[in-house]
Amino acid sequence: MALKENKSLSAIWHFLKLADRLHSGYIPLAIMSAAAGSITPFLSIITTRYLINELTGAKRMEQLILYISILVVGNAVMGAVNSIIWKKLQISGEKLADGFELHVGNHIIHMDFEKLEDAKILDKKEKALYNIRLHDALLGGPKTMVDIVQLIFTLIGVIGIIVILSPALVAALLLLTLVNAFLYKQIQAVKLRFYQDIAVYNRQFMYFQGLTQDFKNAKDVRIYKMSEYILSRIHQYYHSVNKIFHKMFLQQRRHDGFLAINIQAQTLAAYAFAAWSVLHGALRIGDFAMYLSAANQFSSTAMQLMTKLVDLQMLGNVLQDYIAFEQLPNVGSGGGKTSADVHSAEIEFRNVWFRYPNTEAYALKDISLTIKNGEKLSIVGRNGSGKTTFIKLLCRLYQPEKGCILFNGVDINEFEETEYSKLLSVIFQDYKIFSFSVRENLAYNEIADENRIRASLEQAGILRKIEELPLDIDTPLYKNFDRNGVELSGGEMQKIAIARTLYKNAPLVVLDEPTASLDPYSEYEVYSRLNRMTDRKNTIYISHRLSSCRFCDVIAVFDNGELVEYGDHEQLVGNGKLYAEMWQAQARYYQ
Amino acid sequence: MLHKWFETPGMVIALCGYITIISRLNVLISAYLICAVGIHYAFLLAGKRYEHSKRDELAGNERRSKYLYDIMYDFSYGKEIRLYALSEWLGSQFMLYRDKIRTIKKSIKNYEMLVAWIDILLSFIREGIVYAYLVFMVLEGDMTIADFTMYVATIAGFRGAFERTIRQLADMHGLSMQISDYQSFMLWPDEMAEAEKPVPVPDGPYGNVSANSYEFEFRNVSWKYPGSNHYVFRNLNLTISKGQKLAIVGNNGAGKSTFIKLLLRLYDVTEGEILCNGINIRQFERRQYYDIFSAVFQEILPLGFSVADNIGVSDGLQIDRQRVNSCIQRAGLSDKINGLKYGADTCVLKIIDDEGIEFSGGEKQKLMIARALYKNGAVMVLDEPAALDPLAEREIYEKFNGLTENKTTIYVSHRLASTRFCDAIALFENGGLVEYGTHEELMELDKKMRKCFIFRRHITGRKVSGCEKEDGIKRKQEFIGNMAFSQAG
Repeated sequence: MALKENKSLSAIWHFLKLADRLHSGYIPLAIMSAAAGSITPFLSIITTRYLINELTGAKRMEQLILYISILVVGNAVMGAVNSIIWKKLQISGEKLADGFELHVGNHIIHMDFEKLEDAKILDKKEKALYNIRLHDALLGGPKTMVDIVQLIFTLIGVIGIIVILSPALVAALLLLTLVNAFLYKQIQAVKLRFYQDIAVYNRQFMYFQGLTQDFKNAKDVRIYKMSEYILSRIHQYYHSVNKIFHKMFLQQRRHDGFLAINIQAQTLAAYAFAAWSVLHGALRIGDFAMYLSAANQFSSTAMQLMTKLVDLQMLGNVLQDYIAFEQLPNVGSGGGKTSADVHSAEIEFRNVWFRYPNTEAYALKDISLTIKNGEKLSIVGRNGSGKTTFIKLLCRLYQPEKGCILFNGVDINEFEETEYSKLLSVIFQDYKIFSFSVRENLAYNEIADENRIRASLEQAGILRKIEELPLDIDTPLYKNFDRNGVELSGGEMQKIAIARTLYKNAPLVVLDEPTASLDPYSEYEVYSRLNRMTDRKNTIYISHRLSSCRFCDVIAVFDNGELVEYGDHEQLVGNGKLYAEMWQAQARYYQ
Repeated sequence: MLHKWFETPGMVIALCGYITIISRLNVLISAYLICAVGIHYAFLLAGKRYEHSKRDELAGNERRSKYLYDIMYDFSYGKEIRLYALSEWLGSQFMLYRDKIRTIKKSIKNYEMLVAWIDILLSFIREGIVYAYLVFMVLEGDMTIADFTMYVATIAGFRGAFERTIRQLADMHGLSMQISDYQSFMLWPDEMAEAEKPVPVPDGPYGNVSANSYEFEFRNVSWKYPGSNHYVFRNLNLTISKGQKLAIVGNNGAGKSTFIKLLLRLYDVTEGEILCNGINIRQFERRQYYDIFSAVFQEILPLGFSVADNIGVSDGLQIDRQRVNSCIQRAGLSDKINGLKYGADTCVLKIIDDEGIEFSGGEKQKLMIARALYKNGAVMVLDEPAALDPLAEREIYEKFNGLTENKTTIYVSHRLASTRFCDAIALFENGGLVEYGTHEELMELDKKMRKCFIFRRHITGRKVSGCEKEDGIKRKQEFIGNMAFSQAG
């Protein structure tokens, strides 16, 4: 437990340092806000004492006016100061939150690619972000810290007042604090367990909620009469969750009740002591009023402080998940070589072995292959035979375990990372088109060459369609970024992805079956067009439709991570091995 | 959220209590207090209205920044971001919209601060008057110290009660807006009205139906999305006879999936009618009509429950385990399922159960086929499976063909692989049926095309694009030719 507490404290410390780095104004403001917030109640507590003592005593007019002025003007001034600080703190909090989102976003963007395809890392990310969102840890963390500081200030002030009035009480107070601390420990344990246990149920709740609200399921739900089943599962879920909550709340309430009794007892003792003191002439009426306010303030502050401390520790636990994610090391790669004078491309895989992280089996085994400048290569094979892995290694998204990949005789790792990315134009199976304008999707942040954009769209066979759109090439795509965006069909989006590849005009073009959702006619059209357009460029084609790749100079057949056949179409059909079998599988219906 | 409704009266009563106590002191003071409440609330509402007026502007920027946020955080954009070196650009775009949002929020906060200052001013006047008055009363001897402390406490309590009540009222205001959104969703009319007096589906629900007892007829069917002017279908006529195996082929966007949605009555026709054994399908009760079909859709969406539950979901909670097992076996999933630690009780996906299993694409497809077999609908529908390699694709098609026995079966595809074992092929293009017949008939239909097809079978790759350029080949013929070609070479 102690160890855990330390960890959770260091997590908070780490997070505070991060907050200060992201937006340095926030923490000073937060402390100012805490200080101002804790001063305010004392203004009433203290002036009321003087006011009453004056009223029961000398009744000097000028003194009374002074006290009332201090009270009323002080309240107004403190109110104004608080509201200004509060506003600044809110804005500053927003800025911090934005900075944090960007910080995590940048972390993800710059992570080693292989981590992105690792289910464990994905899980880590989801856990870190889910918890941060659920508990609003981002602003909640600093806010809780501020509250705690403020409560501590207040507590010190209150104790100060009580000490002045009755030094004897300090010992009693300390004793009470010890009792409270013990109770607090108990409650804290219960609450922390509660927070931990609830996480699983929250996750399940989100799934059920998604299940009933997601329109994607609509067809299946209707045809397979799923509603009955799903609703009964949800009913079951609620039933079991209610039971657990019942138990948890019962436990928690028992402690809460105990604590409330304790607080009431403290108040009672305080009142009794104060009344006794007044009767014995040890306290004046004004002191009595002040003392009672202070005692009340003490109880409520102590109680709030306990709750906040539990919150803080819980936040500390939550933040540990985040820190674990943030501190994932980045291996990174890349030398300093630029791509400036690369115009041709000869690629060589030299005895490349590769396995995915956390797997035993090799995804690629001893691959040696050369793609000469201007050559068209087609890679075929079953699902999972290593075709896409080959491309990912070529793109330097993964590092080979053994062997090396050479670009014009230079190890690809010697290039600077963004420089290397300039050498490749790749469309993946799961390519993504962004919800920006057509122009931005082709050129991104570079200054767009409009003629080339149009030429690329023309070559991809989509220019006419785009020119019919309301804003021409500046029309946004999809509707989730801009409400005026247009939704194009899957085939049309694919053509935009192809145009993007053409616009990039890199020496090496790779098409990893981007045409899966196109009908054979369109695929053939796209591939033969591309073939003409990329005339003198190295091009690598992957397709399940073997006929689409027949114009390639060479065909490489992958099976189970190995390069099993290599040659042109006629040769491979003549070989009578895997390629011939696949060819037959597609051709048999037409013989 | 609902508890707020019940808290409010309590708060109002407390506030009234405070005002009554103060009224005993001086009616004018309590009149001032009531006025102050009114003024404060008016400004607060003005503030809310100002916030509301900024809502659309804020929402637009928030949507944009949310989208950029999602791209940065979603791993699946990783390849594009790296290969196009987009990281800095995305970050700066994100901050651009966040800055805009902050500027708007700042103006709202300024307004809020103004409201806070008005409150401070009102309290200043209130406290000044009350304290002066109380002290004056005590000095004049009209008030005891006991009363004095009570009134001081009352004024302090009033301030807290006042703030809480005002905030509560403002929250209620917001709540009522949310509730009206909810109402408008719940009262959204279901446009696909049920027949007034539903006719029972012929032969009753599935299970006791002879396998080939349904015939469907599309009669002059036209369809467009509600609110759209563009017809997906116009005057479509097509009969699917009992026990027929029909392949629906066509380009992307030719209306294949819409055809299935109309057949399954997931959509209602805009014009014309669809008959099932001579009865308009709108006359059936929808749920009963759905019972006829076993469908494997294109998007594969397994549930996060056990394998057995996924397969037997159409039986709700009374799943026949023996049937589940036989369906697993028939779908060719036995080896996989038997290899799992909990067999058919293993959870699919890892959402509900950490020990859940993630199936591969082909396995998921088989799971869906097992589900369709379990339901044992009289009519089977296989919407084109996603990208599978040629051998896996052949396996799925042949498996499905073997499993459908002599049931009416509809294959949706843009590949001709499925059409071999079909009795008829319907070729859709641009909102209509353009060809109908057997594979052979379609091929016979156009000798030239047939020639092209054979020609392509025998020629090596480089020269074939010439075929495409031949004059006089219409687009539709070209389609079939290329379809056959790109499938077979």
